[in-house]
Amino acid sequence: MTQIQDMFNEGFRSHADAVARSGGLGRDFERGAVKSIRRRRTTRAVGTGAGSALAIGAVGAAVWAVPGGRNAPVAPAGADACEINPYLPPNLDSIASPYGLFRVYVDLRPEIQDKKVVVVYPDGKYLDVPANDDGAYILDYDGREYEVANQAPRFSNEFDYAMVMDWQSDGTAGGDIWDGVNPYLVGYGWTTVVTDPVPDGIDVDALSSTFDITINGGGTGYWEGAVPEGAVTDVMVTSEGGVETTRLHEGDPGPSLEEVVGATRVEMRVSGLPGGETFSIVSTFDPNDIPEPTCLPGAADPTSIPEPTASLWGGVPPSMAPDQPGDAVGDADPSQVPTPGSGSSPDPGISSSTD
Amino acid sequence: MANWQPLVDELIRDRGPQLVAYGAMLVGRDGDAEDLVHDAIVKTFSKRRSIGSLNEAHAYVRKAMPSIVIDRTRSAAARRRAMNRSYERPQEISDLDAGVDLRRALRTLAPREQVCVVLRYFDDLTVTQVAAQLGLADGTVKRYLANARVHLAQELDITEDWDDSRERADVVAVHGGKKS
Repeated sequence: MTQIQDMFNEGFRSHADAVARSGGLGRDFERGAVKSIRRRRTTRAVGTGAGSALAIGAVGAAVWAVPGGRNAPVAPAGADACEINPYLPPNLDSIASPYGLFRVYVDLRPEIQDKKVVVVYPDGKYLDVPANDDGAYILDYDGREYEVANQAPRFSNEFDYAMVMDWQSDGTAGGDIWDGVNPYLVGYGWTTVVTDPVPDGIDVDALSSTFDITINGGGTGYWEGAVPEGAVTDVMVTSEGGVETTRLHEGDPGPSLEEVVGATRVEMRVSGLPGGETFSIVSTFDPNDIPEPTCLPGAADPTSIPEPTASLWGGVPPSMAPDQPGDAVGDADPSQVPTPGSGSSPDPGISSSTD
Repeated sequence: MANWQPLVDELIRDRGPQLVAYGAMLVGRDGDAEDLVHDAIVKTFSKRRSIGSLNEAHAYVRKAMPSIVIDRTRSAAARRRAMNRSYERPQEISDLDAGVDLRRALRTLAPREQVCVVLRYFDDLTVTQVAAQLGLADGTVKRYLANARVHLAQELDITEDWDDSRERADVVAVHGGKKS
Protein backbone atom coordinates (compact mmCIF):
# COMPACT_ATOMS: atom_id res chain seq x y z
CA MET A 1 0.00 0.00 0.00
CA THR A 2 1.51 3.32 -1.04
CA GLN A 3 1.38 6.55 0.90
CA ILE A 4 -1.16 8.06 -1.50
CA GLN A 5 -3.39 4.99 -1.30
CA ASP A 6 -3.33 5.21 2.48
CA MET A 7 -4.39 8.84 2.23
CA PHE A 8 -7.23 8.00 -0.15
CA ASN A 9 -8.51 5.16 2.02
CA GLU A 10 -8.30 7.12 5.24
CA GLY A 11 -9.86 10.22 3.67
CA PHE A 12 -12.70 8.16 2.21
CA ARG A 13 -13.44 6.27 5.44
CA SER A 14 -13.41 9.30 7.68
CA HIS A 15 -15.51 11.34 5.26
CA ALA A 16 -18.11 8.59 4.79
CA ASP A 17 -18.36 8.17 8.57
CA ALA A 18 -18.80 11.92 9.00
CA VAL A 19 -21.55 12.03 6.36
CA ALA A 20 -23.33 9.15 8.10
CA ARG A 21 -23.06 10.88 11.50
CA SER A 22 -24.52 14.06 10.01
CA GLY A 23 -27.64 12.19 8.91
CA GLY A 24 -26.71 10.99 5.42
CA LEU A 25 -28.43 12.24 2.32
CA GLY A 26 -31.85 12.70 3.89
CA ARG A 27 -35.44 12.50 2.68
CA ASP A 28 -35.28 15.57 0.43
CA PHE A 29 -32.47 14.01 -1.56
CA GLU A 30 -34.36 10.74 -1.79
CA ARG A 31 -37.57 12.45 -2.95
CA GLY A 32 -35.63 14.46 -5.53
CA ALA A 33 -33.91 11.39 -6.94
CA VAL A 34 -37.13 9.37 -7.14
CA LYS A 35 -38.90 12.28 -8.85
CA SER A 36 -36.10 12.63 -11.40
CA ILE A 37 -36.13 8.90 -12.16
CA ARG A 38 -39.89 8.95 -12.66
CA ARG A 39 -39.56 11.94 -14.97
CA ARG A 40 -36.91 10.26 -17.09
CA ARG A 41 -38.91 7.06 -17.30
CA THR A 42 -41.99 9.04 -18.29
CA THR A 43 -40.04 10.77 -21.01
CA ARG A 44 -39.04 7.42 -22.43
CA ALA A 45 -42.64 6.26 -22.31
CA VAL A 46 -43.74 9.29 -24.30
CA GLY A 47 -41.55 8.11 -27.15
CA THR A 48 -42.91 4.61 -26.84
CA GLY A 49 -46.41 5.62 -27.88
CA ALA A 50 -45.28 7.33 -31.06
CA GLY A 51 -43.74 4.12 -32.31
CA SER A 52 -46.76 1.96 -31.83
CA ALA A 53 -48.46 3.27 -34.95
CA LEU A 54 -45.71 1.64 -36.98
CA ALA A 55 -46.47 -1.82 -35.71
CA ILE A 56 -49.00 -2.47 -38.41
CA GLY A 57 -47.08 -4.59 -40.90
CA ALA A 58 -46.70 -8.32 -40.80
CA VAL A 59 -43.18 -9.67 -40.68
CA GLY A 60 -41.69 -9.69 -44.18
CA ALA A 61 -44.44 -7.55 -45.66
CA ALA A 62 -43.55 -4.06 -44.58
CA VAL A 63 -46.17 -1.37 -45.00
CA TRP A 64 -44.95 2.12 -45.77
CA ALA A 65 -46.72 4.25 -43.24
CA VAL A 66 -46.25 7.69 -41.80
CA PRO A 67 -46.33 7.33 -38.05
CA GLY A 68 -48.29 9.16 -35.45
CA GLY A 69 -51.49 9.41 -37.44
CA ARG A 70 -50.05 12.35 -39.32
CA ASN A 71 -50.72 10.89 -42.76
CA ALA A 72 -52.60 7.94 -44.12
CA PRO A 73 -50.45 4.89 -44.83
CA VAL A 74 -49.31 4.65 -48.44
CA ALA A 75 -48.48 1.27 -49.92
CA PRO A 76 -45.36 1.27 -52.09
CA ALA A 77 -45.51 0.07 -55.65
CA GLY A 78 -44.40 -3.53 -55.68
CA ALA A 79 -43.37 -3.50 -52.06
CA ASP A 80 -44.28 -7.14 -51.74
CA ALA A 81 -41.62 -8.07 -54.27
CA CYS A 82 -38.64 -7.21 -52.16
CA GLU A 83 -37.53 -6.89 -48.57
CA ILE A 84 -37.87 -3.26 -47.66
CA ASN A 85 -34.86 -1.58 -46.18
CA PRO A 86 -35.87 -0.51 -42.68
CA TYR A 87 -32.52 1.05 -41.75
CA LEU A 88 -33.07 4.71 -42.47
CA PRO A 89 -30.63 7.20 -41.00
CA PRO A 90 -31.88 9.84 -38.58
CA ASN A 91 -33.36 12.91 -40.25
CA LEU A 92 -30.81 15.44 -39.06
CA ASP A 93 -32.87 18.31 -40.46
CA SER A 94 -35.52 17.61 -37.86
CA ILE A 95 -33.20 17.63 -34.86
CA ALA A 96 -32.72 20.83 -32.90
CA SER A 97 -29.93 19.47 -30.72
CA PRO A 98 -26.45 19.99 -32.20
CA TYR A 99 -25.24 16.58 -31.08
CA GLY A 100 -26.80 14.34 -33.74
CA LEU A 101 -24.51 11.46 -34.44
CA PHE A 102 -25.91 8.05 -35.42
CA ARG A 103 -28.96 5.81 -35.13
CA VAL A 104 -29.01 2.28 -33.75
CA TYR A 105 -31.63 -0.34 -34.58
CA VAL A 106 -31.74 -3.01 -31.88
CA ASP A 107 -33.78 -6.16 -32.30
CA LEU A 108 -32.82 -8.61 -29.55
CA ARG A 109 -36.33 -9.83 -28.82
CA PRO A 110 -36.23 -13.31 -27.31
CA GLU A 111 -38.66 -14.67 -29.89
CA ILE A 112 -36.64 -13.41 -32.86
CA GLN A 113 -34.25 -15.85 -34.49
CA ASP A 114 -32.20 -13.32 -36.39
CA LYS A 115 -31.20 -10.88 -33.67
CA LYS A 116 -29.65 -7.68 -34.96
CA VAL A 117 -27.93 -4.55 -33.80
CA VAL A 118 -27.44 -2.22 -36.76
CA VAL A 119 -25.88 1.24 -36.69
CA VAL A 120 -26.81 3.75 -39.39
CA TYR A 121 -24.78 6.89 -39.92
CA PRO A 122 -26.31 10.14 -41.17
CA ASP A 123 -25.08 9.49 -44.71
CA GLY A 124 -27.09 6.27 -44.85
CA LYS A 125 -24.28 3.77 -44.52
CA TYR A 126 -25.02 1.03 -42.09
CA LEU A 127 -22.98 -1.39 -40.06
CA ASP A 128 -23.77 -4.63 -38.31
CA VAL A 129 -22.41 -4.54 -34.76
CA PRO A 130 -21.54 -7.98 -33.37
CA ALA A 131 -21.75 -8.93 -29.71
CA ASN A 132 -18.53 -9.47 -27.82
CA ASP A 133 -17.95 -12.40 -25.45
CA ASP A 134 -19.74 -10.55 -22.65
CA GLY A 135 -22.85 -10.00 -24.74
CA ALA A 136 -22.12 -6.30 -25.20
CA TYR A 137 -22.47 -4.57 -28.56
CA ILE A 138 -19.64 -2.07 -28.67
CA LEU A 139 -19.37 0.52 -31.44
CA ASP A 140 -15.94 2.07 -31.86
CA TYR A 141 -16.65 5.43 -33.45
CA ASP A 142 -14.46 8.49 -33.76
CA GLY A 143 -12.05 7.35 -31.08
CA ARG A 144 -14.71 6.56 -28.55
CA GLU A 145 -16.49 3.36 -27.58
CA TYR A 146 -20.27 3.28 -27.31
CA GLU A 147 -22.05 0.34 -25.73
CA VAL A 148 -25.14 0.49 -27.90
CA ALA A 149 -26.76 -2.68 -26.57
CA ASN A 150 -26.09 -5.52 -24.20
CA GLN A 151 -27.74 -8.92 -24.13
CA ALA A 152 -26.20 -10.11 -20.87
CA PRO A 153 -28.88 -11.62 -18.60
CA ARG A 154 -29.03 -8.62 -16.30
CA PHE A 155 -30.06 -6.39 -19.22
CA SER A 156 -32.48 -8.85 -20.77
CA ASN A 157 -35.68 -7.02 -19.85
CA GLU A 158 -34.51 -3.96 -21.79
CA PHE A 159 -35.02 -5.74 -25.07
CA ASP A 160 -38.49 -7.17 -24.84
CA TYR A 161 -39.18 -4.86 -27.76
CA ALA A 162 -37.16 -3.90 -30.82
CA MET A 163 -35.85 -0.39 -30.39
CA VAL A 164 -34.59 2.56 -32.39
CA MET A 165 -32.11 4.75 -30.54
CA ASP A 166 -30.53 7.99 -31.67
CA TRP A 167 -27.14 8.51 -30.06
CA GLN A 168 -25.58 11.90 -29.66
CA SER A 169 -21.96 12.91 -29.30
CA ASP A 170 -22.53 14.19 -25.76
CA GLY A 171 -23.00 10.54 -24.76
CA THR A 172 -26.80 10.62 -24.44
CA ALA A 173 -29.33 8.51 -26.33
CA GLY A 174 -33.08 8.67 -26.86
CA GLY A 175 -35.03 5.57 -27.72
CA ASP A 176 -38.35 4.46 -29.09
CA ILE A 177 -40.08 1.16 -29.71
CA TRP A 178 -39.79 -0.18 -33.25
CA ASP A 179 -41.65 -3.01 -34.95
CA GLY A 180 -38.42 -4.55 -36.26
CA VAL A 181 -39.64 -4.57 -39.88
CA ASN A 182 -40.87 -1.21 -41.14
CA PRO A 183 -38.74 1.87 -41.64
CA TYR A 184 -38.98 4.09 -38.58
CA LEU A 185 -40.33 7.42 -39.84
CA VAL A 186 -40.83 9.51 -36.73
CA GLY A 187 -39.13 12.85 -37.38
CA TYR A 188 -39.22 12.57 -41.16
CA GLY A 189 -40.86 15.44 -43.00
CA TRP A 190 -39.87 17.90 -40.29
CA THR A 191 -37.30 20.67 -40.66
CA THR A 192 -36.23 22.50 -37.54
CA VAL A 193 -34.75 25.99 -37.23
CA VAL A 194 -33.33 27.54 -34.05
CA THR A 195 -33.42 31.32 -33.52
CA ASP A 196 -30.08 32.93 -34.18
CA PRO A 197 -28.56 34.79 -32.37
CA VAL A 198 -29.50 33.16 -29.08
CA PRO A 199 -30.44 35.70 -26.38
CA ASP A 200 -28.41 35.82 -23.16
CA GLY A 201 -29.40 33.34 -20.51
CA ILE A 202 -30.83 30.76 -22.91
CA ASP A 203 -29.39 27.23 -22.75
CA VAL A 204 -30.13 26.32 -26.33
CA ASP A 205 -28.76 22.78 -25.96
CA ALA A 206 -31.10 21.96 -23.08
CA LEU A 207 -34.15 23.47 -24.82
CA SER A 208 -33.29 21.70 -28.07
CA SER A 209 -33.15 18.37 -26.29
CA THR A 210 -36.63 18.93 -24.85
CA PHE A 211 -37.96 20.08 -28.23
CA ASP A 212 -36.63 16.92 -29.85
CA ILE A 213 -38.94 14.81 -27.66
CA THR A 214 -41.99 16.24 -29.44
CA ILE A 215 -40.59 15.82 -32.94
CA ASN A 216 -38.46 12.69 -32.59
CA GLY A 217 -39.54 10.99 -29.38
CA GLY A 218 -36.16 11.18 -27.61
CA GLY A 219 -34.54 13.85 -25.46
CA THR A 220 -34.51 15.22 -21.95
CA GLY A 221 -37.33 16.77 -19.96
CA TYR A 222 -37.65 20.54 -19.62
CA TRP A 223 -35.13 22.20 -17.32
CA GLU A 224 -36.30 25.52 -15.87
CA GLY A 225 -32.70 26.64 -15.48
CA ALA A 226 -32.43 26.70 -19.28
CA VAL A 227 -34.12 30.11 -19.39
CA PRO A 228 -33.54 33.27 -17.32
CA GLU A 229 -35.56 33.78 -14.18
CA GLY A 230 -39.00 35.17 -14.99
CA ALA A 231 -39.06 33.79 -18.53
CA VAL A 232 -41.65 31.22 -19.56
CA THR A 233 -41.56 28.52 -22.22
CA ASP A 234 -44.53 27.41 -24.30
CA VAL A 235 -44.85 24.84 -27.07
CA MET A 236 -47.45 25.56 -29.75
CA VAL A 237 -48.61 22.76 -32.04
CA THR A 238 -50.42 23.82 -35.20
CA SER A 239 -52.64 21.20 -36.81
CA GLU A 240 -55.96 20.72 -38.56
CA GLY A 241 -57.60 21.36 -35.23
CA GLY A 242 -55.98 24.78 -34.74
CA VAL A 243 -53.19 25.81 -32.39
CA GLU A 244 -52.74 24.13 -29.03
CA THR A 245 -50.38 25.71 -26.50
CA THR A 246 -48.63 23.84 -23.68
CA ARG A 247 -46.74 25.68 -20.91
CA LEU A 248 -43.61 23.76 -19.86
CA HIS A 249 -42.62 23.19 -16.24
CA GLU A 250 -39.64 21.42 -14.68
CA GLY A 251 -39.31 17.91 -16.08
CA ASP A 252 -42.09 18.14 -18.65
CA PRO A 253 -41.45 16.24 -21.89
CA GLY A 254 -43.60 18.67 -23.91
CA PRO A 255 -46.63 17.76 -26.01
CA SER A 256 -46.81 14.53 -27.98
CA LEU A 257 -47.83 14.45 -31.64
CA GLU A 258 -49.13 10.92 -31.33
CA GLU A 259 -52.78 11.90 -31.20
CA VAL A 260 -52.49 15.03 -33.31
CA VAL A 261 -54.02 14.87 -36.79
CA GLY A 262 -52.34 16.88 -39.51
CA ALA A 263 -49.66 18.63 -37.46
CA THR A 264 -47.82 21.11 -39.68
CA ARG A 265 -45.84 23.27 -37.27
CA VAL A 266 -44.37 23.04 -33.77
CA GLU A 267 -42.85 26.05 -32.07
CA MET A 268 -41.12 26.26 -28.70
CA ARG A 269 -41.17 29.90 -27.66
CA VAL A 270 -39.44 31.49 -24.68
CA SER A 271 -40.94 34.84 -23.72
CA GLY A 272 -40.54 37.22 -20.82
CA LEU A 273 -36.79 37.53 -21.43
CA PRO A 274 -35.05 40.44 -19.70
CA GLY A 275 -34.41 42.24 -22.99
CA GLY A 276 -37.99 41.85 -24.16
CA GLU A 277 -37.05 39.61 -27.08
CA THR A 278 -38.31 36.07 -27.68
CA PHE A 279 -36.45 32.89 -28.49
CA SER A 280 -37.94 30.18 -30.69
CA ILE A 281 -37.27 26.75 -32.04
CA VAL A 282 -39.59 26.11 -34.98
CA SER A 283 -40.20 22.89 -36.85
CA THR A 284 -42.34 22.70 -39.98
CA PHE A 285 -43.74 19.59 -41.64
CA ASP A 286 -43.58 18.95 -45.38
CA PRO A 287 -45.31 15.74 -46.45
CA ASN A 288 -43.20 15.68 -49.61
CA ASP A 289 -40.11 15.09 -47.46
CA ILE A 290 -41.26 11.63 -46.42
CA PRO A 291 -38.89 9.14 -48.07
CA GLU A 292 -40.17 6.48 -50.41
CA PRO A 293 -39.53 2.82 -49.73
CA THR A 294 -36.50 1.05 -51.10
CA CYS A 295 -35.39 -2.55 -51.07
CA LEU A 296 -32.51 -3.98 -49.14
CA PRO A 297 -29.51 -4.46 -51.44
CA GLY A 298 -29.56 -7.74 -53.31
CA ALA A 299 -33.17 -8.51 -52.49
CA ALA A 300 -34.86 -6.64 -55.25
CA ASP A 301 -36.87 -7.25 -58.34
CA PRO A 302 -35.96 -4.11 -60.31
CA THR A 303 -39.31 -3.94 -62.00
CA SER A 304 -40.97 -3.46 -58.65
CA ILE A 305 -38.77 -0.72 -57.27
CA PRO A 306 -40.08 2.83 -57.29
CA GLU A 307 -38.07 5.38 -59.24
CA PRO A 308 -35.60 7.03 -56.91
CA THR A 309 -36.63 10.56 -56.15
CA ALA A 310 -33.62 12.62 -55.21
CA SER A 311 -35.67 15.51 -53.95
CA LEU A 312 -37.01 13.34 -51.15
CA TRP A 313 -33.52 12.91 -49.82
CA GLY A 314 -32.46 16.45 -49.26
CA GLY A 315 -30.30 15.43 -46.34
CA VAL A 316 -28.22 12.98 -48.33
CA PRO A 317 -24.78 14.36 -49.27
CA PRO A 318 -24.02 14.83 -52.99
CA SER A 319 -21.60 11.93 -52.85
CA MET A 320 -24.56 9.66 -52.20
CA ALA A 321 -26.67 10.99 -55.05
CA PRO A 322 -28.61 8.46 -57.15
CA ASP A 323 -26.15 8.46 -60.03
CA GLN A 324 -23.22 7.63 -57.77
CA PRO A 325 -22.26 4.02 -57.19
CA GLY A 326 -22.50 2.78 -53.64
CA ASP A 327 -19.08 2.41 -52.07
CA ALA A 328 -19.74 -0.05 -49.31
CA VAL A 329 -21.35 -3.39 -48.79
CA GLY A 330 -24.43 -2.64 -46.76
CA ASP A 331 -24.58 0.87 -48.09
CA ALA A 332 -28.13 1.80 -47.24
CA ASP A 333 -28.50 4.81 -49.48
CA PRO A 334 -32.20 4.57 -50.29
CA SER A 335 -31.67 6.00 -53.74
CA GLN A 336 -29.47 3.10 -54.77
CA VAL A 337 -31.26 0.55 -56.93
CA PRO A 338 -29.39 -2.72 -56.78
CA THR A 339 -28.95 -5.01 -59.73
CA PRO A 340 -30.27 -8.51 -59.15
CA GLY A 341 -27.56 -10.77 -57.91
CA SER A 342 -24.99 -8.01 -57.50
CA GLY A 343 -25.96 -6.66 -54.15
CA SER A 344 -24.93 -7.84 -50.77
CA SER A 345 -27.01 -10.08 -48.62
CA PRO A 346 -29.31 -8.20 -46.32
CA ASP A 347 -28.10 -10.53 -43.62
CA PRO A 348 -26.15 -8.26 -41.28
CA GLY A 349 -24.16 -11.32 -40.35
CA ILE A 350 -22.31 -10.59 -43.55
CA SER A 351 -20.24 -7.72 -42.39
CA SER A 352 -21.17 -4.30 -43.60
CA SER A 353 -18.79 -1.43 -44.03
CA THR A 354 -18.84 2.22 -43.16
CA ASP A 355 -15.48 3.11 -44.53
CA MET B 1 -44.85 2.26 -5.65
CA ALA B 2 -42.64 1.27 -8.60
CA ASN B 3 -40.58 -1.86 -8.05
CA TRP B 4 -37.29 0.03 -8.36
CA GLN B 5 -38.16 2.54 -5.67
CA PRO B 6 -37.47 0.42 -2.55
CA LEU B 7 -34.00 -0.33 -3.88
CA VAL B 8 -33.34 3.36 -4.50
CA ASP B 9 -34.52 4.15 -0.96
CA GLU B 10 -32.28 1.46 0.51
CA LEU B 11 -29.31 2.54 -1.60
CA ILE B 12 -29.60 6.16 -0.51
CA ARG B 13 -30.15 5.25 3.13
CA ASP B 14 -27.45 2.59 3.48
CA ARG B 15 -24.83 3.54 0.93
CA GLY B 16 -25.43 7.28 0.59
CA PRO B 17 -22.51 8.30 2.84
CA GLN B 18 -20.07 6.08 0.95
CA LEU B 19 -21.29 7.38 -2.40
CA VAL B 20 -20.98 10.99 -1.24
CA ALA B 21 -17.45 10.37 0.06
CA TYR B 22 -16.50 8.76 -3.24
CA GLY B 23 -18.13 11.56 -5.22
CA ALA B 24 -16.33 14.17 -3.14
CA MET B 25 -13.01 12.73 -4.22
CA LEU B 26 -14.12 13.01 -7.84
CA VAL B 27 -15.43 16.59 -7.65
CA GLY B 28 -13.93 18.02 -4.46
CA ARG B 29 -16.92 19.50 -2.61
CA ASP B 30 -19.62 17.81 -0.57
CA GLY B 31 -22.46 19.65 -2.30
CA ASP B 32 -21.12 18.88 -5.75
CA ALA B 33 -20.70 15.27 -4.64
CA GLU B 34 -24.38 15.08 -3.69
CA ASP B 35 -25.33 16.39 -7.12
CA LEU B 36 -23.08 13.79 -8.69
CA VAL B 37 -24.60 10.99 -6.63
CA HIS B 38 -28.07 12.23 -7.62
CA ASP B 39 -27.20 12.22 -11.32
CA ALA B 40 -25.60 8.78 -11.11
CA ILE B 41 -28.61 7.27 -9.33
CA VAL B 42 -30.99 8.82 -11.85
CA LYS B 43 -28.88 7.61 -14.77
CA THR B 44 -28.70 4.09 -13.35
CA PHE B 45 -32.36 3.67 -12.51
CA SER B 46 -33.82 5.52 -15.50
CA LYS B 47 -32.83 2.58 -17.67
CA ARG B 48 -35.18 -0.35 -17.54
CA ARG B 49 -32.58 -2.80 -16.43
CA SER B 50 -32.77 -5.53 -13.89
CA ILE B 51 -30.84 -4.71 -10.72
CA GLY B 52 -31.23 -7.48 -8.21
CA SER B 53 -29.38 -6.41 -5.10
CA LEU B 54 -28.15 -3.48 -3.08
CA ASN B 55 -24.53 -4.33 -3.87
CA GLU B 56 -25.28 -4.45 -7.56
CA ALA B 57 -27.05 -1.07 -7.43
CA HIS B 58 -24.15 0.39 -5.47
CA ALA B 59 -21.68 -0.90 -8.07
CA TYR B 60 -23.71 0.51 -10.98
CA VAL B 61 -24.04 3.95 -9.41
CA ARG B 62 -20.43 4.10 -8.36
CA LYS B 63 -19.25 3.12 -11.82
CA ALA B 64 -21.44 5.78 -13.41
CA MET B 65 -19.99 8.60 -11.34
CA PRO B 66 -16.55 9.03 -12.98
CA SER B 67 -18.09 8.87 -16.44
CA ILE B 68 -20.57 11.61 -15.56
CA VAL B 69 -17.74 13.88 -14.44
CA ILE B 70 -15.85 13.21 -17.66
CA ASP B 71 -18.99 13.78 -19.73
CA ARG B 72 -19.40 17.16 -18.06
CA THR B 73 -15.98 18.14 -19.27
CA ARG B 74 -17.04 17.17 -22.78
CA SER B 75 -20.44 18.86 -22.79
CA ALA B 76 -20.73 22.59 -22.26
CA ALA B 77 -24.42 22.26 -21.46
CA ALA B 78 -23.86 19.61 -18.80
CA ARG B 79 -21.07 21.67 -17.29
CA ARG B 80 -23.30 24.72 -17.11
CA ARG B 81 -26.09 22.73 -15.48
CA ALA B 82 -23.73 21.41 -12.82
CA MET B 83 -22.32 24.87 -12.24
CA ASN B 84 -25.74 26.48 -11.99
CA ARG B 85 -26.87 23.93 -9.43
CA SER B 86 -23.72 24.63 -7.46
CA TYR B 87 -24.55 28.33 -7.35
CA GLU B 88 -28.16 27.66 -6.44
CA ARG B 89 -27.30 25.28 -3.60
CA PRO B 90 -28.31 26.31 -0.07
CA GLN B 91 -25.42 27.41 2.10
CA GLU B 92 -26.00 24.70 4.70
CA ILE B 93 -24.31 22.05 2.54
CA SER B 94 -20.74 22.77 3.53
CA ASP B 95 -17.70 20.55 3.42
CA LEU B 96 -17.25 18.25 6.41
CA ASP B 97 -13.84 18.41 8.06
CA ALA B 98 -13.10 14.70 7.84
CA GLY B 99 -10.59 14.00 5.11
CA VAL B 100 -10.92 17.54 3.83
CA ASP B 101 -7.19 17.97 3.19
CA LEU B 102 -7.28 15.27 0.55
CA ARG B 103 -10.33 16.79 -1.12
CA ARG B 104 -8.77 20.24 -1.14
CA ALA B 105 -5.64 18.81 -2.71
CA LEU B 106 -7.67 16.97 -5.33
CA ARG B 107 -9.51 20.18 -6.16
CA THR B 108 -6.25 21.74 -7.32
CA LEU B 109 -6.27 19.28 -10.23
CA ALA B 110 -8.08 19.65 -13.53
CA PRO B 111 -11.36 17.65 -13.53
CA ARG B 112 -10.06 14.86 -15.76
CA GLU B 113 -6.84 14.58 -13.76
CA GLN B 114 -8.89 14.35 -10.58
CA VAL B 115 -11.04 11.52 -11.91
CA CYS B 116 -8.07 9.60 -13.29
CA VAL B 117 -6.10 9.80 -10.06
CA VAL B 118 -9.08 8.55 -8.01
CA LEU B 119 -9.67 5.60 -10.31
CA ARG B 120 -5.97 4.79 -10.32
CA TYR B 121 -5.06 5.13 -6.66
CA PHE B 122 -8.35 4.63 -4.83
CA ASP B 123 -10.15 2.16 -7.09
CA ASP B 124 -6.80 0.54 -7.88
CA LEU B 125 -7.41 0.31 -11.63
CA THR B 126 -4.56 0.03 -14.11
CA VAL B 127 -3.93 2.81 -16.60
CA THR B 128 -5.54 0.72 -19.32
CA GLN B 129 -8.62 0.08 -17.19
CA VAL B 130 -8.95 3.77 -16.37
CA ALA B 131 -8.65 4.64 -20.06
CA ALA B 132 -11.28 2.06 -21.01
CA GLN B 133 -13.77 3.18 -18.36
CA LEU B 134 -13.48 6.85 -19.29
CA GLY B 135 -13.19 6.46 -23.05
CA LEU B 136 -9.74 8.05 -23.08
CA ALA B 137 -6.47 6.95 -24.66
CA ASP B 138 -3.88 5.25 -22.43
CA GLY B 139 -1.37 7.97 -23.20
CA THR B 140 -3.84 10.66 -22.20
CA VAL B 141 -4.46 8.96 -18.87
CA LYS B 142 -0.72 8.65 -18.26
CA ARG B 143 -0.30 12.36 -18.96
CA TYR B 144 -3.11 13.27 -16.55
CA LEU B 145 -1.62 11.03 -13.86
CA ALA B 146 1.84 12.48 -14.30
CA ASN B 147 0.49 16.02 -13.89
CA ALA B 148 -1.59 14.94 -10.92
CA ARG B 149 1.39 13.34 -9.19
CA VAL B 150 3.40 16.54 -9.41
CA HIS B 151 0.59 18.60 -7.89
CA LEU B 152 -0.47 16.13 -5.21
CA ALA B 153 3.09 15.46 -4.07
CA GLN B 154 3.38 19.14 -3.23
CA GLU B 155 -0.11 19.60 -1.80
CA LEU B 156 -0.04 16.49 0.38
CA ASP B 157 3.66 16.53 1.18
CA ILE B 158 4.16 13.02 -0.12
CA THR B 159 7.75 11.92 0.15
CA GLU B 160 7.83 8.51 -1.52
CA ASP B 161 8.14 7.86 -5.24
CA TRP B 162 4.56 6.60 -5.25
CA ASP B 163 3.94 5.65 -8.81
CA ASP B 164 7.02 3.97 -10.20
CA SER B 165 6.41 0.60 -8.61
CA ARG B 166 2.85 0.41 -10.04
CA GLU B 167 3.94 1.31 -13.54
CA ARG B 168 6.60 -1.42 -13.46
CA ALA B 169 3.97 -3.91 -12.32
CA ASP B 170 1.80 -3.06 -15.34
CA VAL B 171 4.66 -3.70 -17.74
CA VAL B 172 5.31 -7.10 -16.21
CA ALA B 173 1.63 -7.97 -16.51
CA VAL B 174 1.55 -7.20 -20.22
CA HIS B 175 4.68 -9.11 -21.15
CA GLY B 176 4.74 -11.85 -18.58
CA GLY B 177 1.07 -12.60 -18.17
CA LYS B 178 1.11 -12.09 -14.44
CA LYS B 179 1.68 -9.29 -12.03
CA SER B 180 4.75 -9.17 -9.87
